Amino acid sequence: MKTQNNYMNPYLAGFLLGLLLLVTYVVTGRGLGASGAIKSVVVAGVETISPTHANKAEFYKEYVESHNEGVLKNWLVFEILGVVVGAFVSGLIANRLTWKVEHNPKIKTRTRLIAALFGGMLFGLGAQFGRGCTSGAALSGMAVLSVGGVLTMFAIFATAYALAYIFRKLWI
Amino acid sequence: MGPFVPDIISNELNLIVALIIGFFFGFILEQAGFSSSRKLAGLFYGYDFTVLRVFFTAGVTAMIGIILLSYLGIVDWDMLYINPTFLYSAIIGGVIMGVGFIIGGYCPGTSFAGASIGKIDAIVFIIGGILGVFVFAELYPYFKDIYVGSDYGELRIDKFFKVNPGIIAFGFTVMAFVAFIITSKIENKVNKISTNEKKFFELPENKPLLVGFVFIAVSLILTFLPTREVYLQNKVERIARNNEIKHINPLEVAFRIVDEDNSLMVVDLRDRSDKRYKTIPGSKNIPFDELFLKDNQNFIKKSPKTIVFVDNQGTLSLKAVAFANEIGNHRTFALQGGLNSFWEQFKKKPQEIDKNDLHQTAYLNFITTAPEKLQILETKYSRDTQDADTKPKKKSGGC
Repeated sequence: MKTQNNYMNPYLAGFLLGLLLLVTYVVTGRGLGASGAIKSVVVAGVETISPTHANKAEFYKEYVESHNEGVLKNWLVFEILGVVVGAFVSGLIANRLTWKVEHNPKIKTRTRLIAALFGGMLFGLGAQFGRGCTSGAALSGMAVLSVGGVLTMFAIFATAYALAYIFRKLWI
Repeated sequence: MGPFVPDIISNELNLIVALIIGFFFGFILEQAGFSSSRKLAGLFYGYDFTVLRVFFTAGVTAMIGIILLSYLGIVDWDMLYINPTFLYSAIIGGVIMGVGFIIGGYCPGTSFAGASIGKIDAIVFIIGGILGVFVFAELYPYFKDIYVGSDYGELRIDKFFKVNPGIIAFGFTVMAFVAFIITSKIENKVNKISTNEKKFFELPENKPLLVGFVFIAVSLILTFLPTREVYLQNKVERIARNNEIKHINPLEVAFRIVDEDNSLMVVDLRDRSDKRYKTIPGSKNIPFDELFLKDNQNFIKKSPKTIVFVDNQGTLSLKAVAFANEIGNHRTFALQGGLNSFWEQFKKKPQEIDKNDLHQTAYLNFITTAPEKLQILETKYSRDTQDADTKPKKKSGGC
């Protein structure tokens, strides 16, 4: 199986991603995103499992009120559905579809999964404060010259670099 | 003029658009290799800078594109969603996400790409993300002060530094270019590849350098472009000098105002502080300097009424009409002789008139009674609050 060398040239990929982001702004007036879809799923889940709690707690209440057409009938939810299909098609073409836990051979599969879970949790939490993740805050924010977006971008990368040494065993 | 949602594309159709855009987003992310956490993490250990290349190229491309399209009037930047700046929340969020990145190896968008091709660690990362949002939601009352605190609104970098947006784009382009060169060297060193073996930009010959220079050149040109407001202002000065501007006679304006003709709208261009001459009853005040602001442009463009621009001498109103024509409203007039002539006309009554000439008697009658009628209208209008501008709704967005 080919894996390493059939990725797209990064500058070309970046250029295409930039054009896509530009088109997204021109057509819809907003940028790309990802963590917002997770947020919708969480609110929808809590609403289904415990409607009384969703009506009481401020976070859900505010979200439901501002999304009167339904929590899951949301731009980012549909966009992420598209992402899943698009990435799947790309993986299919490039022959990269396999079930696997990708990790540094020096660590156990379990360690990788625990790290992924914690990493995901922190990202989910941080994306709320940052009002968006690497896509919605950092990349889209940079494109429209948002001060907040660019600050979040620098904070993400600076922190990751600062802590790279501590967590090096996970990766190298 | 963009954005097309919700005026041209309905909100329902927009969800289909979301699917299509998402498809390409996912496709590009996977093609770039963002479905692999080890490739992503390479950024922080120097063995693979793909993330930096893709991210900065995309950011700079979109940024230059938005500046260009906004300058050309194809997209209205003020109508785009600009991530609001809540200073501490933005930084704290970024720091927490940075920790998540180095531990988890993915970010939300890339984790979806990874999960789609069967990466189990990516699926676990998404589950983690769900838990993370849930934690925030449950503890929201404790976080709220930070979350909504130090609100700077839709702060833009160029407006913060009070410079042309092109200068910021140029800065980012040069920064990205330098970063690409430095990181290629680091990458080669870490991976123990000699520079001769691995081509600098992985593209044949010097093409990549060329592409880089094209980007720098374009962004450099952008730094010299005036903002759209300045551009319009200059153009209007030219038109006002060369073209014939449609004038409206003060008597006609007076007559239609007294007649309470609703198809006429008087726009007073003087500074609000200018109280030397009273204004025409029912007029709307838009100081000339503010004429180029987006809201006022839209007001003038979309006004269903015939607009009469007025100022003291009738000079600014020429430019205002030129401007209105430029943005597409051709039913605008400049008050001939300005407000000076308007109020003057009631003072110089004809000495002798022919009592049998109906025109002359009607005229005399009008200019004698008009000031009083205008006074009554003045009091009437100042009681009603008018100017019920409807501001177009901005896009909401975010992640």
